[in-house]
Amino acid sequence: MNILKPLFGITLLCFFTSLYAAEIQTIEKELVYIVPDTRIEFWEIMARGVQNKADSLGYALEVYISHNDAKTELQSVAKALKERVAGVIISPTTSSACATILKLAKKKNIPVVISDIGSEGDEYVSYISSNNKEGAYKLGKILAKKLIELGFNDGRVGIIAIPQKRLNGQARTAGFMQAMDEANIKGADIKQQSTWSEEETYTFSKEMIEAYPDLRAIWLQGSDRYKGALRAIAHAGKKGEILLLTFDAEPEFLELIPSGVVVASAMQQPYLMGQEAVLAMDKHLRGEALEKNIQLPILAISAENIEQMLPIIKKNVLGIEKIKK
Amino acid sequence: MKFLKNNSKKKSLYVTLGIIIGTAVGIITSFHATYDYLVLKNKIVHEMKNNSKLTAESLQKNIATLMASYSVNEYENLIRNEIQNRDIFAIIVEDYNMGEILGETSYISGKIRDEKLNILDYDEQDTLQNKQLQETYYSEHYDIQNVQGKKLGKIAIYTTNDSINEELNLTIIHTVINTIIISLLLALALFTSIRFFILKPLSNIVRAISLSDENGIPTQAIPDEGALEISILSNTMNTMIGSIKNSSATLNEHHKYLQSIINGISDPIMVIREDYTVELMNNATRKIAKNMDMVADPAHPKCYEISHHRTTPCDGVEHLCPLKEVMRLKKNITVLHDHGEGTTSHFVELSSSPLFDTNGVCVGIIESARDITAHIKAQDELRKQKSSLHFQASHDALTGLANRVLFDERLEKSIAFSKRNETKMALLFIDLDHFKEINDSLGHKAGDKVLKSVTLRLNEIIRKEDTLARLGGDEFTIIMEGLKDVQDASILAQKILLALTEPIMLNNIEVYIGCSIGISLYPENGVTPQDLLKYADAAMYKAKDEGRNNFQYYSAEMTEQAFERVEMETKLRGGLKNKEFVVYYQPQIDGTNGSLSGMEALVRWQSPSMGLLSPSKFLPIAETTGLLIELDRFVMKSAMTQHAKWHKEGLNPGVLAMNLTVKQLQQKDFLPMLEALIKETHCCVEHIELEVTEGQIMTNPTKAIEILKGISELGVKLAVDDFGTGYSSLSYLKKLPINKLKIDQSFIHGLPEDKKDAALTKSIIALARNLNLSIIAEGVETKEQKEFLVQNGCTSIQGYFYSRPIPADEMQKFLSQAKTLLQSSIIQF
Repeated sequence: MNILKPLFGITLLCFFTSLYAAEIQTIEKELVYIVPDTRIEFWEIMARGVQNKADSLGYALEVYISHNDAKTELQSVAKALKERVAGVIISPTTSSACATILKLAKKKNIPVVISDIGSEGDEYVSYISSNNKEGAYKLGKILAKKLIELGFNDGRVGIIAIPQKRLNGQARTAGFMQAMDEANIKGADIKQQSTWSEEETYTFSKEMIEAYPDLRAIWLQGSDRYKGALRAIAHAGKKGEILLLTFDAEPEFLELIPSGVVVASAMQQPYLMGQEAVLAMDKHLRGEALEKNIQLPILAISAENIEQMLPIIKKNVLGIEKIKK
Repeated sequence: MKFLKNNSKKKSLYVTLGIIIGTAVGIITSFHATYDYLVLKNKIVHEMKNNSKLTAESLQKNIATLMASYSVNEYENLIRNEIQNRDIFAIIVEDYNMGEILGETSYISGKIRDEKLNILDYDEQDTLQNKQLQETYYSEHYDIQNVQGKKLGKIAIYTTNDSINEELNLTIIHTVINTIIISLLLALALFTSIRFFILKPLSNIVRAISLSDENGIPTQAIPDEGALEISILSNTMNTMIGSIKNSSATLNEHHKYLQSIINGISDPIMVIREDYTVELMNNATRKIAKNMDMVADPAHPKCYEISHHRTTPCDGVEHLCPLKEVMRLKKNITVLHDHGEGTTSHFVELSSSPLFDTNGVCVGIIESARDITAHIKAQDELRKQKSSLHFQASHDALTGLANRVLFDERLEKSIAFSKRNETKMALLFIDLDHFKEINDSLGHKAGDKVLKSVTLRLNEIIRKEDTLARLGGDEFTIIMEGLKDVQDASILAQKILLALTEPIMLNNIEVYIGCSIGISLYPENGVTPQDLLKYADAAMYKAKDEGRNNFQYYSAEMTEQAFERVEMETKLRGGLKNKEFVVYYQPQIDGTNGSLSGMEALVRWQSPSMGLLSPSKFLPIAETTGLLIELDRFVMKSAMTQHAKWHKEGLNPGVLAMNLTVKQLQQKDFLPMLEALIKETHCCVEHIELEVTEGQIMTNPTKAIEILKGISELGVKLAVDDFGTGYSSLSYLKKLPINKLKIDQSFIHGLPEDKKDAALTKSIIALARNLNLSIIAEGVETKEQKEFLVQNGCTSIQGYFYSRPIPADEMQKFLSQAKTLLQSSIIQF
């Protein structure tokens, strides 16, 4: 009878220890992905990519949507930090906001991987980004070729840009303009999105068309409001006279690009970016070496190579495993 | 400049000025730098605070907006920019919004500089950063509010003084450098200026001054160069040098002059130093020194060699050494040396005064020697004379008797003696009778002889213990001490009277002089010298009043009489002034037929207070007070005027007889006055007769004869009044230019029964007849007297028998009636 009591005690001890260990293990396995706005296809695809890789690597993942709001984003960060997650993957609303987030995470010793947008700070584990500049440059090259081919190279090109305070926006603009400069194609105007609405895109397009009679192309640095631009072109009666290019892709681009409605698009690979972000976090958590900055190529897709690139487009650009209708 | 260098230990002007200027510049610049430093520091601090405030103002609004939009990095970048742009140490922000999100009070973030001034993120947990914040120089906290005023957080701005210190240190360095540079430049400029404008001219001045003659007076003019002040100095010095030269020349002249004066002093004068060396001497001293062969070093003789023929200093036994005494006492002294030999004295008076140097130390003496042998002798003589003078001061020079001074002293002592010993004392006051007449008629020399003679006689009479004094004039006093009986004073008085009745021979002239004596007794009449003298004097006057040549004791009534006398004198003067005197006339009748031959004018005093007074009441006082002459002339003028009027009216008043005193006759202007009066009154000289008493004539008969002759030559008749009473010498009688004798009433009074009076009267009548003189008798009161006189040849009668003296108006009536009633035997009034 005397030996049972100690044995029972030991058993209880082991039990609780295992529970604790399980919980620790569980906690260590939790990641948080903070995304600006999943209403935007790009971010939604990226989130699926993060989720996909997290699942495959056995991480529990919470996705917090910032709704492009700094406060919400910070609240999400605070929550994540409070929960003492294993790591935070973030696509910040702004690179400026990301700097603060990085500081907060650093204080809590929670590693952060940035996926797209970028940060003014450098207290991150790894930064997954698209080579916006190169992609835009390639796109610009395609446009230049197309304009020359159509004899529109005397015209101008307008840009409806993402906020240029964003590093990616700056990179995109820089790469595109480089291509324009090399082709001696003049720029018309650059308008930065603020409301991110289609109407806004329509208005910007219409204004540029009216302001620049020799406008021959409009480049959207985004993709989801392409319809606004198309409407403006159509309403201006410039269909076929003003080319439309985008950045990033929509599922229908698989048809629009071959048809020439959209001349070309520099497609980021958000799904892949998401995956890479998780992979980077995993490496960090496992103590492996990894690159501070991982730039994934942007696919410059036009009618000429869309067929060839379709598998990659479906997977990495559109995250074809989950296509939103 | 070499002239300014010497071996003196004094610092050069360069050094002194350099120290002063350097110190001053250093102090001034230091103060200036300190002031600038403080001003700058305050300015910087002010700017810093202002900066902080501006930063806060700049940040508050922006950060509020960013806080509201949760743009932490934005406002952190803003903070960074502010820190960088405004040189702020740290800006710490408390974000309440972020804090709320993070579940804390606030989210604290900010920027802070490290040691290298790099801007770092503020870590709240960083101890070093927190310590740095605490150690900042200045901090300011501001609230961050949104437009609605809701506090969104706080902002703290921290500023260190590193930049302040850096700037201030820089400023200090600059200031120090500037100060050094300025000081050096200023010093250089000053030294150069001093050298050029001050030292060089001064050096030239010193050089000019150094070229001096044997008296140290520069021979060249001081150069006039340099700045105004140096020029003024040069000119002033030139003026001063000129003055010095003039003064020196004057001084030399003066020195020579003084030396000549000193040499001219016959007394040897020496300046002797404390070692007995004669430093200076005059010629008189040189003479003495020259003649002595005991002077060891003629160039530096010793005083004892010159003065005492000694080879060693005086030992001070025979006489004091002036040098030693003055050196000891440090004041002037006079000592007497006897430089004589044997029995011959040669007194030398040495007057020595201390000789002080410029520091006030006595280094010797100035001695003058004077041979006062003659002076000593003279002093001896003087001493003797002094004794003599002292004697003379207390004794009467003429008689050798005690004078008033000594008398007062002796009287006091006698009173004290009498009081002490309870004995009696008498004071005799002796006044010579008729002494004035003798003095006036015979002269003061004769008077003096009389006094001396009186003195001899009194000295023979008094006792040894008595004090005889002459108070003055003809007044003598005798103090009789220790009287056993008061009658002893009477005895002495009687002896005096007797002694003075004997005539005094003056150049073969017998002078009769008596005296009146007043006696006062101690203690009966008084106990003080003043009282005793006063009462003796009063008694003497009483004696005078009693007819003189007697003595009287003082009685109380004499005091009254003395007062009365004084009162009488006053009234007398007033009476003359107020014309209270009147002339009465007493007829002179021819006894044979009763006709008026003339009248005698007699003065009466109609006093408002005393009534009608006869001459006996006031004439003695008039005589003693000198009013007699005025009174006499008044009577003469009144009588002559009246008499002339009666003659003019045909009343035939006869001859006017007027009494005349010797005093009146002795007036130098008497004859001119008489002549003028005769003219003025229109009175005929033939009608004027002047009566002079026998006694007055005989006081100085020679003089009287001379004056009377003068009167006689005018045509005025002269009569001898009171004949028979004046001890006249018959030899003088025949010389007198008289016309008439008037028999004194004392001889008439006893007629005809008194055989002596009868005989004397007859003799006088016979004398007159023999001398061919008219004769008149006065004081005739009875018929028998008149009959006798007429029978014996004296027909002119004056007296109460015919009439008493009457006033002018009554005499007028008398004269009117006389014309018709002259034949009557008796006219009674």
